[in-house]
Amino acid sequence: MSSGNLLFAATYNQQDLWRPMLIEEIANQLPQRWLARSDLLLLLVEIIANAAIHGQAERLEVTARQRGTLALLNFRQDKPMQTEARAALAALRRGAVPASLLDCPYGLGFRIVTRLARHVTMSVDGQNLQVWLKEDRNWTALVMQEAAG
Amino acid sequence: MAFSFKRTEDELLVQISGLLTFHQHREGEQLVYQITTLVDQGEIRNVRINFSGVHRMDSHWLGVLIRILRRVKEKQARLVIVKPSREVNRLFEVSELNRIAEIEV
Repeated sequence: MSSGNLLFAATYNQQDLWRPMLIEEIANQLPQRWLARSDLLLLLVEIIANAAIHGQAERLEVTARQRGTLALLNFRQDKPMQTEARAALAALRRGAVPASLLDCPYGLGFRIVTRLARHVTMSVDGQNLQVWLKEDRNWTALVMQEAAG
Repeated sequence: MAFSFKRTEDELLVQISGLLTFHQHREGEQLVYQITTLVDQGEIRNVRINFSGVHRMDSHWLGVLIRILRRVKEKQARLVIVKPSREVNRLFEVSELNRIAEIEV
């Protein structure tokens, strides 16, 4: 996938990660082919929060690549994600979801990300979070229809 | 973001507005503390949180709501989330909060 068409690349420092407008700034530079804008904003805020809070990242590199109808968003942080966060993602990928939300008021971010994305993976070193999105042709058609008035 | 309280007999009306994301995590803790303190006193039977002024929210604030909901249920009281925007309602759907919380559109 690294040979895919590079759509976006940027690096942010710790101060950037705590700027509320950063989420919209990134979303504005990504094509609206994969997710509704509100879902994209939600996905981005969850990942940035994870990096800023649980990863305690001082530097985050964000890249977006496309190959065909697939897109890969890669978030590389300078420090590995906390063990608890990595375990939470691994559990979600195994389908181990708590029976009730009332039992888990914390660690909901990955639960949301895994539901919005086609696939979510984390590198063994805990520094790369990879989020796969697939173009929703129905959504693309709707956006184009609305743009055409 | 901002929030305010209005109390009428056994009902607590909470008006909340602005951006509810991890950037406002301290305010989230304040909201949990203030509502749960009032609920713990046992006089509040209904908590209504008006979300009409909230345009975006993330899982940090979802956790805030769940903590409040849990305490309200423990005290056999009732929590109603009032008028969430389309974006906020989407978060409730994706997270399935809408299955455990009463939402008044």
